[in-house]
Amino acid sequence: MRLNFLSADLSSRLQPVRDPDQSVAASGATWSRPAATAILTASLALVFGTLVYLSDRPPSSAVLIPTIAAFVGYNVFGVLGQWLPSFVHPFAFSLFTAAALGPGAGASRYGACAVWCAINVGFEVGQHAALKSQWAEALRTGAGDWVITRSVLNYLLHGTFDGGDVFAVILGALAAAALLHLVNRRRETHHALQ
Amino acid sequence: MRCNSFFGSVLWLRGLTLVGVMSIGLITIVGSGGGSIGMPSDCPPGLNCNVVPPPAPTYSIQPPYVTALVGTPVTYSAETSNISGGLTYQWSRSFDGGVTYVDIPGATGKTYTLASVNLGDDGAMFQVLLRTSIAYLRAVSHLAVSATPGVVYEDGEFQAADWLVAPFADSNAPAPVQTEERMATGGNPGAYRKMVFQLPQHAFAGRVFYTSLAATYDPQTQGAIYVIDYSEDGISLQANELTFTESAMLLEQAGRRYIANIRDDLPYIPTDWSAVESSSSLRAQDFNLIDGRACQAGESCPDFSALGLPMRFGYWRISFGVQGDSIAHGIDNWKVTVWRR
Repeated sequence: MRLNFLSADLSSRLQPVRDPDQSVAASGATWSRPAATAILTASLALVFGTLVYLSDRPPSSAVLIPTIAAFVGYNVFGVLGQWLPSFVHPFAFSLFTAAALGPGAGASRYGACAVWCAINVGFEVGQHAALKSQWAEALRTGAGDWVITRSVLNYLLHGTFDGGDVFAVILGALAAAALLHLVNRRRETHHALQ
Repeated sequence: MRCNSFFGSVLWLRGLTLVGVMSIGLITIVGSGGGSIGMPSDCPPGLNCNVVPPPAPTYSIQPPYVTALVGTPVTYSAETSNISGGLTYQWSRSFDGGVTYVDIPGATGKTYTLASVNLGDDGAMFQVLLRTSIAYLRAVSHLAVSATPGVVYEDGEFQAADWLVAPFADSNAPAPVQTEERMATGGNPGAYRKMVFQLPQHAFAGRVFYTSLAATYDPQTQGAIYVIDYSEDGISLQANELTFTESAMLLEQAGRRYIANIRDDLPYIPTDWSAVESSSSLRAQDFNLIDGRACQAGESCPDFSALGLPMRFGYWRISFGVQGDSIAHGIDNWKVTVWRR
C-alpha cells in the first residue's frame, strides 16, 4: 500500500495525476495499477521463458542467455518447453508495450498484442524452408552486410519453422489481450463505483 | 506551464519506453536462435562470445526408434555424456502410448535387452530413468515389431545409371546447377558419390532429389507397408560454417515427392563421415509432401496401404550458402528397409 500512499501524496501536489488508481514509479512517470499488473505478469512470464532456455534447451541455443551448468538438462517443462518461449514472448512484450502506452491507451493496447503477434509470426514463418532463402536474400540486399543483418540471417537460415510455435504465438497474444481486458475492466468498474 | 512540462516529460518517457520495449522485444526474438542449433558466427557487440561453456550433459536411449523382426532380440542402451558422479538406472515400459510407465523389475542396468520380441511388444515404449546426485533424467524409445522380414534396398557404389537426378525449383528458389561424380575411394569405406551444388543468383539454397531406379516397392503386389527404416552416411566437403547441407530420405509416389523430416530437424552433415541420417520406424505421417499436387481430402499421402501405388526411394539434399557458392558433399551406405506387418 506504500505505492497508493505515494500516489495520493503526489496526486495532491501534481494536478495532472487525478486517477486514484495510479501509482508512481521512481522516474516520475505515472503507471496505473493495471500497468503494474501487466509489468509484473510479463516479468514473471519472461522468467519462465528464460528458464526453458536454461534447463530444457541445449546450451548456447540462445545467444543472449548464458549457459548455467546447474540448470542444464533438467527438462523442467517437458513437452511444453518446445513452445513455451513462443507463447511467452508475445505475451510478455504485449503486456510491456501496453503498460508503456499508458492508462489512456484504450483499444490501442490490444493493437500492441496484434503487433507482437504479427512480428513473432513473421519471424517464425521467415524460418520456413520455402521462404528462408528469399527472406534472407531480401534482407541482405536491402539492409547490407551488418552485424544486425547477419544475426537476423543466422536466425532465418539456422532457425527451425514449427507450426506449433505459430499457434503458441497466437495463443500468447490472445492471453495478453485477455489479461489486459480483465485488469482494465476491473479498473473501469472500480472507477464507476466511486 | 508546469503542467505542460510535466506532461511533455511523461510523453517523452513513454515514447522512450515504447522504443526500448520494441527494441528489446526484437533483439530477444533474434537472440533466441529460432529453435536452431545456435548462432554460429558474428557475436553481437557487447557480448563475450569467446567464453566456452562447460560441455552440456547429454542422455538418450539408443536406439530411440527400433524396428525388429519377431523372435529377434532388441537391446536398449542408456547413453550419457558429461554427467559427473554416480548414475542409477531404472527401465520401465508403457503399454498405453507413453501415458503411464510401469517399472520393469530388476531392469536397473545401463542396458536392457528383450531376448525375443513378439507381436505383443509392437508399439511398446521403453523409458529409462537416470538418477544423478542432482537430477532425474528420462529418455524414451519406441519399438515396432514385424512378423515379416524387411525388404532392403541399399547402395554403396552409386553407379550413375542407377540413380535419377532432379534439381528442384519452385517459385521461391531456382534450382542449383549440380554435378555428381562417383568417387572410387574416400568413402566410408570405398566408393561414394560426390555432389556439388552451385547456388544460382538470387538463391540462398539449392535442392536436389536423388531417386534410386532399383528401389521400387509396390504395395499392391508386395503388401501394405508398416514402417520404413532409413540410414545414410554423409560428409560435407566444405569447411565454411555459413555453408551447410542437410539430408533426408526421399519417397516418390503417384507423381508426388515426400521427405522424412517430420520427426526431427534435418541434421547438418558434418565434415567427416558419419551416419547423418538414421531413422527407424518411419510411418506415413513422418513424411512431408514437398513436390507435386496437394493431397486431397480423404487421400493418404503417402499411401502405405495395400491399395497404394508403386513408390520409389532415394534421398534429398539441400545446401545453404550465399549465391554463387559451390557446395560439395558426399553420400555413402544409403539404405532403406521396408517393413510389413
